[in-house]
Amino acid sequence: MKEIQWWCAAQGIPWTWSWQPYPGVWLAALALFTAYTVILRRSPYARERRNLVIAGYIGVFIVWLSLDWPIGPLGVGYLAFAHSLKFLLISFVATPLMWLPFSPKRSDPATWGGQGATSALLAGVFFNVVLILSHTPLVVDGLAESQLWSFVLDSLWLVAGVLFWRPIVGRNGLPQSMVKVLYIFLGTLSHTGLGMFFLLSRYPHYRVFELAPRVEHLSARVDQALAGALMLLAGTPIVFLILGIVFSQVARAEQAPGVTVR
Amino acid sequence: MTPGFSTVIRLPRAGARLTPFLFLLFLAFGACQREQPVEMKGSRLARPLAKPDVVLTDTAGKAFDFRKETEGKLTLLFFGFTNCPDICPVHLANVADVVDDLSFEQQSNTRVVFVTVDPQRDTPAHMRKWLDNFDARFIGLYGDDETVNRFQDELLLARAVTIPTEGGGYTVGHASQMIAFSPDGLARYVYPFGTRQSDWAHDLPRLFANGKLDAGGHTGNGKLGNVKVVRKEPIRIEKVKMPAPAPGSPGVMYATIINEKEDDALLAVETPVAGRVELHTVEKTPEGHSLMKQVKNIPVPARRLTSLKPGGYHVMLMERTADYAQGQTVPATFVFEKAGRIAVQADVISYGEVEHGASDGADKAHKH
Repeated sequence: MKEIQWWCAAQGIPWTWSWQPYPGVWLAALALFTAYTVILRRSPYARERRNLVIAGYIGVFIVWLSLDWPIGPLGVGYLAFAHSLKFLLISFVATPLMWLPFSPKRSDPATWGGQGATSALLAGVFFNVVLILSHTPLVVDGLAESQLWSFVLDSLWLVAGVLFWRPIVGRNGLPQSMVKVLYIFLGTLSHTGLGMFFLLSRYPHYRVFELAPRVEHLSARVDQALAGALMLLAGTPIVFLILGIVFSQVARAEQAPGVTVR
Repeated sequence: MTPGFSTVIRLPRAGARLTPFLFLLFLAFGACQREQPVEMKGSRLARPLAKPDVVLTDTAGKAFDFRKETEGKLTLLFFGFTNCPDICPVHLANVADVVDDLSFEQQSNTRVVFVTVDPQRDTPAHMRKWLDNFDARFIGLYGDDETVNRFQDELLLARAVTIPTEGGGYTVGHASQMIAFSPDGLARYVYPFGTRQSDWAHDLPRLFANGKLDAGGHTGNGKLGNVKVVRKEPIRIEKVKMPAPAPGSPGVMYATIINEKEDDALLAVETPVAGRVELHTVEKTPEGHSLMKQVKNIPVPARRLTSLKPGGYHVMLMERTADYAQGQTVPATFVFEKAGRIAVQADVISYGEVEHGASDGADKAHKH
């Protein structure tokens, strides 16, 4: 009999494709939705950009999708591939989408600013520290069975993603396009390295995924290689796609009369 | 101070503060991947086991003489069933991956043998198809209950037991360790569930070498009487006893631990007959009552005998997964903080025998 969990955590029991409720995930998704709506209402620009607002809500929906059944439990207790997918969805897809409705204009109160390059550097460092720490075997294996720690790790991914993408859109973000490219390139280096590491490793690195009951006969080694391939082959194009979208948004804002974009 | 000036000043300071931290993180990550300098990753058997003289039937329907057909080969033997949802497929999949990494010559001299403990459901064709998911070279065997039970008995494994499940079905409780026979025909190490691919990759080449001299210092010429001990074992475990428990009640295990080297601690005990194993001690209350209390570990001081005994430290077997009766033996692995994992066989005895010999009273200084 499967124990009901409030947040997805590794249970070590065979995987079944029967749906499981995760009430904590629903509450968190609802809280995120509410907070996002409140912030959107503070932005006069968001009201004019319905399509981008929809994209932002799709970002919130993707956060929920990646935390709930089946990606959530698969990613914490069964498949390294699902673990990578969850990370990518939250940190590389959902969070930049959530920034889209906001404007880089100084007058958008929703895009609060920090201290320019310094805060961008700290955001980049924080993002990479979270990325590396949350992928160490010590953390993945050690905390996978705890619902509370799984919640903390997932929340950290979300916060790190939001902070990482803020300098691209935020009103006091990085000033020049080339600096932004450099920022994203450097910021995603460890993600690329991690993908390479998984792809080229001979043995599985995570005990929790290596010794978990198999899902659809997928061996632990193939699973890890797929996780690496996903990080490497899917993550990088996603980054460049986001860059393209953000730059077109910046270009549009620059073309608007009487607007100074920093 | 202008914002621009602030930025100029803070950037290098923030960077300087964080660089060593990041460097340490990378080092920590690297350290997690590094192999520990341990000689063998498997659980060492207290004494080597010879291959049993057993003839079963393979998935092609031919008689399979286990001793003869695996002679001179590194043989990994596992008892399981194809409907097993977790342990069997994971164990076999991990072995299959690592066997694939061996040299061609080593692969040619390796046999992975799977003996079903569920012959009712594991038809030869079904077993073949299931094994092919891992490696088409894996050998599947079946036999009558009596032969398979004798096979397990001779390898000191707990016999597989059928456990009814809800809805009228059943599952099978079985020993989860894979037994590794070196080319000399002796098994010195077993690999419980939880053995990782990196552990297998570390040990398999060394198991090939066991015919000459293994990591435990045994010469393996196939004769138990000629086993030569080169390296002194830091910890020996003797008199491992388990009273046959009443139905539905938890089991208990006693033993004598002889520590020849340095202060150590018993951290855990693993056995396939219990879902959960706890370390306990007995304390006296001020009123003079005995109170059983769970402990995190049991200290094993250097050069002393530590007795796990009634009224003192002992091992409690909770959530029993299999029955065992007086006269049988049950495998167990003692996990020490420094000495690592040591596999033993516990003798199942009556409670009457416990009072007269399972333990030897108070802990004693050990004289050489």
